[in-house]
Order: sequence, then structure tokens, then C-alpha cells
Amino acid sequence: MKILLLEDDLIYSELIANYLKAKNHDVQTVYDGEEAEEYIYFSKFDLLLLDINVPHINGLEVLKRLRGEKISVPVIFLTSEDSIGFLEQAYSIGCNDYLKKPFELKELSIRINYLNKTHFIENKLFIIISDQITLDMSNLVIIKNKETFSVSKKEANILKYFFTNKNKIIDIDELIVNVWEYNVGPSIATIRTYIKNIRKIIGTDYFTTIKGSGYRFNI
Amino acid sequence: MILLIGWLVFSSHVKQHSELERSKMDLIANDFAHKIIQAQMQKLNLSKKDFKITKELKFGLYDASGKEKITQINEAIDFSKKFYEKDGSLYVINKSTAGHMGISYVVIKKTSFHNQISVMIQNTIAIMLGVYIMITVIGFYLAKLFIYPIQAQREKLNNFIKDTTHEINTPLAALLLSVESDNFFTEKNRDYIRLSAKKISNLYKDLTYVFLKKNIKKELEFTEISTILKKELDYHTKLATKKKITIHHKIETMHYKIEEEDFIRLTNNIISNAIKYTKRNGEITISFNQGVLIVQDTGIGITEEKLNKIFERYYRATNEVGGFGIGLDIVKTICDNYNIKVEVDSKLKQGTTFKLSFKNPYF
Repeated sequence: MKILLLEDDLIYSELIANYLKAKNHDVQTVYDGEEAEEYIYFSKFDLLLLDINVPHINGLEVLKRLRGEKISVPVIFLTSEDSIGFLEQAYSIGCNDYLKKPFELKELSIRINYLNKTHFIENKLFIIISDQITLDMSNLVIIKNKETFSVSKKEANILKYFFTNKNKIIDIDELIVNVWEYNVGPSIATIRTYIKNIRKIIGTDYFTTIKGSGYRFNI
Repeated sequence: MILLIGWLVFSSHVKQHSELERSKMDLIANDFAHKIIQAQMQKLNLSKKDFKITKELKFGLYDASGKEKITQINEAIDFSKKFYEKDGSLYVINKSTAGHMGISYVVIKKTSFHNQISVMIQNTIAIMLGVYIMITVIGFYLAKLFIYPIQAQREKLNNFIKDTTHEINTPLAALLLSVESDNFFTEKNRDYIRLSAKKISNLYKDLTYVFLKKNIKKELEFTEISTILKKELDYHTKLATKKKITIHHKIETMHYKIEEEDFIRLTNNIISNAIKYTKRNGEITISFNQGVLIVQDTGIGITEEKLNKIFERYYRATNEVGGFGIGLDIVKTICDNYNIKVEVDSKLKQGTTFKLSFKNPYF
């Protein structure tokens, strides 16, 4: 999993990074909010671990701007702020978890694994969409009634994103920032084609086109 | 208090008012009595018309037995008194006719006395309320004026304590992690423990310095501060390397009359801030010669308006919590104590330079 760690205590940062690296994660450490933003907008991460109290731009502000850009990457706060006010603020901005320092590394690992499962972060997974339909992320196939259909990596990622955010209206912009790298933007027509292909395989019932807004994946 | 004053004012008003009314009524009664006596002397007839009286007053003429001759008053009169109040009305009994025209008593009644009193009550209450509101407003203003600085100080102290406890928490968490690490005995892990413990120790010393500032000794020896600085730089360099920051330094031998701990605190705060606010791959240049210590970083810098405030106790240069607060306050205090001139120069996004000029060093 590709993880960004924002922590300004250099020792603490290194300790956590070492631990996560030992767990086979790819960890990028950053030491202030500005640097965090540079990395987040430059390349894609599967998970962000953010401290709140850091120089330049604080962790809450980083997340606020991120969610403002509709980037829905999972975020865990690692912080010394122990007031319920901060916790409330963090969740209302859109964090996925909140860990108070000091914590055991094992706990961090458990929480990361949980997010991995709920957000299908690592692609070596079967995503069971319904009784009949399974998405195999490692072989890039959709298995429907024991029949297999090959899909492109983007199509698999689009289906995964819709499934993770099921029953929610997702517009094209949101899809672009979350499925594509940030410096490449596909055309709307390309995205329509991808969705058309997915519909062809899994059936048209799953996708509802919401005029002028986007699509909704119904389960 | 206000109620008491109000009541006193009110009752004295009522008394004054009723006395005024009485004298007015006495005057009229005398006038009537005079008319009656004159009428008998000049053998004139008297009728109701001869007695002119205002609307709120009524009059009655009675003989010696108390039987009415002419009267506008319906109720019984107490002839034993000269003046009394009953059911909100005032009565004046005048006996100066002394039986002329068969009249022994002239009675004047004022009916609206009660109404006037209630008007007075209303006025008094209104004034009392006015005074009350005024006193409250003035009192509130004065209290605010006096309490504001105390409150501001309290809030600052509160922020300061919050910040420091937070600042201690992270290195403490790091320390816990490295103590419980599986690779406990590796040199690297021992370094983590050492550096985190040192950071906690520095914060602790800063804290005690702020709260339990002891007086500096009067008889100070010259201390070779350049060696102390070099030793401290080992710690800073280790940390800075983790952020790929290069520390360039050129330190010449220098002695100064300062306590070792204070000098460490002073430089530690300045260099720690420099590391904290310098970006990855940045540079910090430290030079110490001719009694001038310069620490130059390539951090975010501080705007001019904020530059004037950074030495204020617990002031934060950035809106995120932590940092800056006590550090620079300590720098200022130590510099003041040891006759060191401190200057800060900063350019936004380019970096900050601290220049400390030591007075009368010995090389």
C-alpha cells in the first residue's frame, strides 16, 4: 500500500515509517502541511496518515482542501490533540479514523488493515459485488455466473470506486481525481465508454445515470 | 441598596407632597372661614356658589354638633382631628369660623391624593431602574477593564500549557515506541531513544525555566561556549539529517560569562526552530566568530508584522498550534539576562536569520 505520513517529529516519523515499511508498505514521509500537499497532488496514495499540529498548513486544513477537491483517499489522523472538539472537527471534515498519541504500532496496523478491507485499497483482492458478480482485481476480470469477462485496469478501478461509494451520486470530476493520476485527465467521452463497457458485462440495472450530475451505483 | 435609597427618596417625597397639599388646603379652608365670618358681619347670605373650589377638592360646612349645612362630602368626618388621611383622601378640618353663620367646621377634602402617589411610585421606580441600569453598565465596564488583562494572561497561560503538553506528547510517544521495539538493542534504536529523551528533556527544562526562573549567579566564570555549541550541534545534526537538511557551521573559540545550561537553552531553541521550519533538503548556516552568533535557515520566514511579535510570550507565528511560543520568549529572557543583543531578520519564503551579539566576550 502506498502511504503518505505527515509527522513533524523526525524520530517519531522515522519509527512509524520503519514499521510500515517492514509491513511491506511504500511510505513517503513529509514534515509539514505544504510538503504533504505537494506530494498528494503530485502522485496517488492509497492512505494518508496525518498529524494535525505541523508547520505551515495543519493536518485538518490539508484534509479540508483535499475533500474540497473531492479526493476521497482514506485518511487516519495521528495526533496529540485529545479534545473531543478536534475529533469532531476531523470527522466532520471527512477523516476515516483518528488515533491519539501515544498508540501501539500494532493498533495502527490493525486500523490500516481494516481500512484496506473496507476501501479495497490493495488490488490483490476479489471484490464480491453480488451473488453472481465478482471483480477479480489481480487478474482484471469480472466473473459473472462462472463466466469470465476481461476488463481494462481503468474499468476495474472505476467499478471498484463505484462499488466502494455505492448508492451515492458520483460525478465525472470526482471519478477523474480518484481513479486517474492528478496530472492526467481523460475526456468525458472516454469515461462514458468505460462505463458503457462495464454496464454491458454486469447488466444495466446497477448504474443509474443522473442527468447533469453523474452516475449512481445501486446495490 | 438601590431599593432602600428608592424607598427613602419615595417616602420623603410623599411626606413633602402631603404637607404641601395640606398647606394648600389649609389656605382654602381659611379663606372659606374668612368668607363666612365676613358674611355674618356684613349680614350677607351665603350660597354654594360663594365657595369656589377646584375639581379635585371638595368642601363641607358643619355646625357644632357635626350636622352638615352645605356639603359635597358624603362620608362621616372625624372632627376631633385637624388633618388626616383616609382611603387615599386627605381631610383638613378648620374650626376658625367659631360658630359664625352657625358653622363650626369647614372641611376640605382632596380626593386624588392616592392617584398622585401612584404616579409618584411609578416615577420613583422608573428613576430607580434608570440608576440601576446605569450602575450595572458602569460596573460591568469597569470590571471588564480590570479583568481583561487578567483574562488575557490566563488564556495565554492556558494555551501555553496546552501547547507544551502536546509538544511533549510526540517525543514521548516516540520514546515509548523505541523502548518497546523488537530491535531494541540496535545502535539505531538507541539513537532514537537518546534523541527523543533529549527532546523531552529540553522541553522539560524550558518549562521549568519559564515557571521556576531562578536568579542568575552574580559571580560568573568565563565558560568556553564554543565547545558547548559544537557538542549540541551533534544532536541537531543527527535530527537535521533525517530531514536531509545540511547544517554548515564555522565556530571559533569563545568564552563568555554565562551558565552552561542557559547557553544550551538559548541555542537549542533557535536551532530547533530553524530545523522545524526549514524544508527537506534545506540548509542551515551557523557561524560564531568575534562574539557574534548567526543562525540562518532557509525556512518559511516570518512576515514583518509578525516579526515584532515573536518575542511576546506564547505568541504563535503560524495559526497551527505548537512551536514558537515559549521558545523565543526564553531566547529573549536569556539574552536580556546576559547582555546579549538579539536581532531577527526574515524574508517570507526565503528564511530567517538570528543574530546574537555577545557583549565583552573573551576569545
